[in-house]
This record gives sequence, structure tokens and C-alpha cells, in this order.
Amino acid sequence: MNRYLKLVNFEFNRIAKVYFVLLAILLISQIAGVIFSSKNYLNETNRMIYEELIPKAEYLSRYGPMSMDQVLSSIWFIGPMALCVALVAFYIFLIWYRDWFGKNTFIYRLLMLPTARLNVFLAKITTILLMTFGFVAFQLILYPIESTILKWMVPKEFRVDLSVHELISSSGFLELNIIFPNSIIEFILNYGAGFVAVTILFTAIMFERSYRIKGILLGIGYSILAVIIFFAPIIIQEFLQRYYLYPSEILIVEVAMGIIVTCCSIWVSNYLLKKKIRI
Amino acid sequence: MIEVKDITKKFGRRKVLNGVSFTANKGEITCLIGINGVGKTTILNAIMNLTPINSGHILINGEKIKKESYEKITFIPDAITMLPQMRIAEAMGFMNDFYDCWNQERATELLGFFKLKESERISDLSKGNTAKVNLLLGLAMDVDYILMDEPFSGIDIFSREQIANVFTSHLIEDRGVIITTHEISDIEHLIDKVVLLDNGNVLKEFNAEEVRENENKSVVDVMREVFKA
Amino acid sequence: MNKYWKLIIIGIVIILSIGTFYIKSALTVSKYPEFVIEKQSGDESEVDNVVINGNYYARSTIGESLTLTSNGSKYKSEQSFLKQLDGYGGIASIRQLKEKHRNFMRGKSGSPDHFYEDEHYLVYGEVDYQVNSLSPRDFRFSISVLDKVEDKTNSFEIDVPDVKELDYMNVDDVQMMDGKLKIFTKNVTGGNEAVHLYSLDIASEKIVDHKEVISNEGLLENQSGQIMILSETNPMQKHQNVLFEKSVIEDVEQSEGYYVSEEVSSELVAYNLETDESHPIALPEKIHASEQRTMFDDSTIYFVEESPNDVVVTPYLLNEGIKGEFKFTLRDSKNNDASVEESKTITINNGKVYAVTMMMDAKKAAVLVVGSLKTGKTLYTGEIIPKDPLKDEIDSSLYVTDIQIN
Repeated sequence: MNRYLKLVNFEFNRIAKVYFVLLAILLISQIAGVIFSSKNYLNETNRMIYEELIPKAEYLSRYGPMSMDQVLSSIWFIGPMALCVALVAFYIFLIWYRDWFGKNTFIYRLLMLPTARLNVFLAKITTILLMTFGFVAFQLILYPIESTILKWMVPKEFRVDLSVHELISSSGFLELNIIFPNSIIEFILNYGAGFVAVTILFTAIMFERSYRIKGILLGIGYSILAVIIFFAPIIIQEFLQRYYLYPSEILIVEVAMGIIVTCCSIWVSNYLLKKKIRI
Repeated sequence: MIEVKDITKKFGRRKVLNGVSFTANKGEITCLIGINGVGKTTILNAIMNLTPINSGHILINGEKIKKESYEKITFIPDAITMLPQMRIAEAMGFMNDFYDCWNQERATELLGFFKLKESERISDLSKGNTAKVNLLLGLAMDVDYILMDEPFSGIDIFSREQIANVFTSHLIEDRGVIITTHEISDIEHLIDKVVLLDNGNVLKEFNAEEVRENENKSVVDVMREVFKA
Repeated sequence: MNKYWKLIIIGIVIILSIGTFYIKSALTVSKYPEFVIEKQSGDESEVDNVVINGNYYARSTIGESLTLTSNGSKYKSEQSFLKQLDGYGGIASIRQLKEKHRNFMRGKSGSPDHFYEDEHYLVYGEVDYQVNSLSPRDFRFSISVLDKVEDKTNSFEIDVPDVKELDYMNVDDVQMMDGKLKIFTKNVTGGNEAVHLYSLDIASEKIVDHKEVISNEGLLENQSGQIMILSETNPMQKHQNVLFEKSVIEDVEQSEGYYVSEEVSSELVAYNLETDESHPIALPEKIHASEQRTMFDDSTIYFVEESPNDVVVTPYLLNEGIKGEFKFTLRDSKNNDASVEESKTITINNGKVYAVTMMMDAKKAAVLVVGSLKTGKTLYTGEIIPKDPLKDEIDSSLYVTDIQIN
């Protein structure tokens, strides 16, 4: 356990620099986005009201008030978020392959630690989780700050203040609901499903690292099998066209399948790491 | 004692190890000799459970390798096992963090011996100094066995001498060492036991001292005989 | 410990930030105002079985769904997550069936038209077919009968006979009579709709009779026939008559080959299950069925007309004709006029009409009226109002989406 924590700390520190730089980009770009969008809106408003002499009420009903909604749809806001998602997705693979490739042979060290090799696996998956939750947490902290800046810049009668949930449902980006779900239960379910997916991917990587070219096929095969097992309750119902289970029951069964698939993945990975892995 | 019993290893259809057996004792330097590509590194990897073998088994002090074994046996591969962005001090800190058998005093002593600075980054080191750090990280562990893969390859002459000096020092005393090389000259006079490998087979396993005393032959003489035949 | 500072910081940030976010959103839910139905006049017990679904808008952005009964309001997000999944809102009668007969209701559709219920039996009938080929095929009835007295379920499937060239079919109503299941279906062939009646013997699990009961005949080439079942106040209950609205649609050419559909004729047809006969209903001049909301409860058709402040219901008894014209006024206690575009949600149940205006905000209360369709008397009037005065007055509003009677 202690060595597991040390490994988590070590793995996190390895990516920390890049990670904090990305957080900084997120911060700067989004705040810049808020300022630019507000400025644009104000300029446009002034022009319309003072030059085109459109009455305020008519302007508002025609063009609508300013809100975070308009900021969200700009590349300044959504761009760095996409970058963060991309980094995590990419790092799921890199976190393993960087130990094999390159000048160093750090994987020798990791595999020769006097601790269960599974701890290396768990430390890496924990790091991925920490990175993901860190981004989510940081974005949630940023949002009220950005809203406040908008409040400073745009007068109340031209502005609608939106909460995070309101923003997501009024914007077109419903995908954001996956990242910032409405309730804590959905949060746990969404990220739980993400965790299942990452363990499957990690296991596929373990297959590849154990059997190389043959391992790619084994890894893909394992992933497909895991996905089929995971969705088996739904697939069976669709196939039979018999919707026997209530949605709540499907959810419970799916949670159980998720736990089963995760346990299988970790068990298989443990076996591969202990018996089959190659440096 | 490290016992390697009848291990075979295939890479695809190619058989790299074809029933290799030998033993290495504590307090002795055992040298695996063979031209490149005969599977010397594979044997060391197999001992450390870094590559699966197809058959046979390997015992360390009578037991199969397990996670606790890594406090008793260490492996110094031919490339450094630390991240290039680390400073030497950080690399030592890492070892100290994870290994109970890490001996910080000895590490400091070795730093002085190799004339290395703690604050240097591994990526900035010369090839020779990188090899020395690699060696340092292995030697500063209080382990029973040290495996070394080609410690002299591609290193300048002065570094070689420094490294060779290690073998006669108290740093090696009482430990069991397995070393691979394709060039025997630097350490010929140091080694106790020789395992000659070719085509995945052990051609000959002999005691260097005995050959020297009884047959008045050097290790190289024996190699010539064996490989010619 | 110092070494772990990055990890500790990120850990604390994650827990605090995400934790606060969800605690705050949980608190927002509990901050939503509670609504009540407040009596203005009449008998309070008249609204005991009324369920009103709606959405509350705090700042005119997203609605929060809620359900309102005589006991007060409950927001969707206040319910457990699993309950929300299994269908919050929806059709009350189906939800009740699911609560009462959870296992029987597994995999059943959510349409009351597919159910029949009396004291003894709960019956479900639906048509299944394969849609994974170009045209649907393999039509079969999927029948389930629950004997509530003996607590026994019998489910079976039967192939639908004579389905050649059928595009589509859909169950309109399920009835039971003398141990036989009567299934009315709408069968669509080449764009023309016809109503078929299948009689199934439950004991032998066989189709004993099949006939086309209503169809459109003598259609011209540019015409197509449409037949719709008249919505019933309670589709699940036993009734002797089933009513259909039959209409002919004609494609009329506008300029440049652009076509629009126009209804050229429409009439109501009643099918009597006891006599097995269908006959058209000759409506009096003053009622144009197609332009009004209609509801049917076996013996009476209710024609409903709305004006901004009134609901007018004209009952038409199948064997007696028009029986009165009843007007019910919806006006809130501040005597506001309803805006012209504002419509009402109206339902009829057990000879009573329930009407509610659709919006409530700071200026205006939503009004609920219950009226008897036998006497024309207003039995109850009430208002939907917030239990405590709204804080965010100006921007808050409540929209009623539907009213149901349990």
C-alpha cells in the first residue's frame, strides 16, 4: 500500500509539469475568452444602440442578452477543454509506452520493484483518474470566476447569469453533460464507466506488451469480449426484442457487469504482469 | 545460489535458449561468454522474471523469484534504468524510497569513487558516466546477487578501468555476480567461473582458477579450443 | 510528507471542488419553491385524485419537472435516481399498473390502448414484427393475460393472419368479452388505413375470427384514407362501443408541382362490440368533430371547446344525441383575463371535466376547475400557487404540461 502511494506520487509527478501547463492554458484561454466575448458584445450593443439608434428593449429582444452561453461556444473556451480531454485520452497509452520506448529503460526499474507489479498498474490507473478529476475540479473552480468577470464587464440588464447546469442544457454541447453530470450519482456512474473502459484498455496494452504483434490481436479480442460482456444484458434484450428488465434493473445489472468486467481486467492484467510481460 | 535449470526460450520460431543450465554461487563472479545474439541478455532477463521462458526453471536460494526477491537480487542492464530528466540525487532518492536494501552510505561512497556530482541530470551525462550511475544504483543495494549486462560495452578506457576496479573492491566482496560479456580481456583475471554459450547451448562450464592452475591456460585459450572445435 | 505536496493539493482540490459543486446543486433542488392547489370554492375532495405535471422555470432557462397533487408538489430531482429512471411523470395509469403488477408489466409498452382491465383480468395485447428488413414482416400478436384473482399469468404469441402487403399495423384497443379477446388494429396497406378486429380465444390461444370492420372505400387516385380511434377517457376499461374518426385526405396540386394534403371528408363511426355492427354517427350541424377536441367514454362523446377564460363541453350520447352544453369559467382570484394564446389542459374522467390553465407566474395564478358533465355544475375551483411567496418573483414561472386523474 505504501509503495502504491509512492508510485502514484511518482507517476503523477512525471506528468505534473505538462499537466499544470495545461491547467494554465485552460485558465488563461478561458478568461481571455470571457473578456473577448464580453467586449465584442458590448461593442456591438453600443453600436446598435448609439449609432443605429435601436431601442434597448428591442435590441435585447432581437439579439438577446449576453451570457456564458456565448463564451462557451467560442474556441477560447471549449478549445482548451478539448485539449485536456485529448491529453488524458492520449496519456492512457503513453503512460505505459513511455516506459518501454525512448533512451531509458525505466520499465526494468518498475518491474524490479520489491512490490506486486499490479501496484504499478493500479498506480498508473490512479494517475489517469487523478488527472481527469483534476481537470473537472479545476474547470468547476474556474467557472464561477469567469461568471464574475462577466458580471464586472456586462451590466445587469444585458446579461443572464447561468449556473453550470443551466449553461450546459442551454448550450448545444450536451456532451458536456457526460463530463459534468447533474447529480452525484450520475457522476459516479459516468466516471465508473470510464474507469471500466480504462481498465479494459490497460489490459489490452498488457496483452500487446506481453505478446507484441500477436498481443495486438489478443488485446483487441479481449476488448471486444469485455465490451460484449459488459453490454450483454442490453444486447440480449435487443436481440430477443424482449425488454424484460426495467431501466432501474438494467442499471443495477450494468453496474454489476461493470464490476465483473473490471475485476476480470485487473485479474488478467495481474497475471500478464506476473507471468508474461516482456521488457 | 542461483540455479538455472534447462531453460528454453523461443522468439517466434527462433529458439534462443535451448536447454541452458548453470549455477552461480554467492561470493563468486560468474561470467556468461558468447558472441552477440546468443541469448546472454535473455538469460539475465529470465532470471529477473523480465521475460517469460518456455520451459525449465530458475531458482534463487532454492526459491522461485517473487516480489521480495528484488531486495536480494538486482540487475544492472546495459542502459540506465532511470528517467533521463532525473538528477542523480533524485534517482538515488527513488531507490531509497522503494528499496529497503538501499545503502545510502555506500551510494555516497560510490559517488566519490566515480567522481560524480549529485546535482547532474542523467540526460546530460556522458556515456561512461551514465554507465557509472547505472552501476552505482545497483551496487549501492545490499543484495546477495548482482547481474550485470555488458558493463564495459561502448565505454572509454578510463571509465573501464574505474569500473574494473570495482570488482576487486569491497563492493563486490561476498556477493554473487553474474556478468555477461563478449570481450573477456578487461576482467579475465577477476572471474571465478565461466559459462561458454553458443547457439542457445552451454558449450562448457568451468572454473577459471582451476584451468589457470591445473592446465595453465587462460580463459581465452579455453574459449579458442572450444569455439574451434 | 513534503514530497507529496502536489498529490495532496490535487486531492484536496478534487474533493473540495467536486464535492461543493454537487452539494450546492443538491441544495438548489431543495430551494425550489413548493406549490399547492388552493381551494377557492367547492368540495376539496374533488381534487384528491388529480395529478398535475409541470415544469418550474427559475430564470426562464431550464425547467425542473414537478408533480403536483392535493398533497403538494414533488420535484423530479427529489426522487431517487432509480425511480427517476423507471419513469417519472408519464402516464399515471401505466405507472400505477407497474407499481401494482411489476412482474406482469415487464417489457410491456407504455400505451394504455394496449391494456384492458376489469376486476378479474388484466390483459395486454400488442403486435410485434421484425423491422430489420426493407418491409416489416413476421407480424404476430403478443398477448399476456393476468388472472388477478388466481394470480396467474398466461402469455402467448400468435401469428397475425393475412398480412400480405401490409405496411404497418398498430393496436388501437384491447377489449375482452365472453372469454374472448377483441383486438382492434389499424392496418395500413399502400397508405390506406383500415380498422381490423381480431377475436382471440384465450383458453385455446387461437384466433377465432378476423374481419375488417372499418375502411375507406371508393377512394380516388389522389386520395388516401385515414382512420383514428377516438381517444377514450379510460382506454383500459370495458366498453361496448369503440369510436373511430374516418377521414379522406386528398393531395391537391398547388403551383409548380407542389402538393398539399387536404381533408375532404370526415365522419365518426361507432362499432358496437355486442352486436358486431358498425354504424356512422350523424352529428348535428353545430358540432364539427374534426375541429374540436373530442373524448369518448363508451356511451358519451364529449366535444370540448375553449375560449380564453372558458371551457365549453357538449356531451353527445350515442343513443340520445346532444345532452346540454356546459360552460366552465377559469378565472384567477385577482380576476386576470387569460391571454388569448394561452391554452388549457383538459381531461375528462368519470363524467367530470378537469381543466387547468397552463401558466402560473408572479402576476397570475394557474386556475383549476372541476365540473360535472351531468349537471353542468362547477364542483370545484382552485388555484395553483407557491406555498411561500417566491423570492425570485419576476423570473419564476410554472408551466403545466398535463393533468391526469388517478
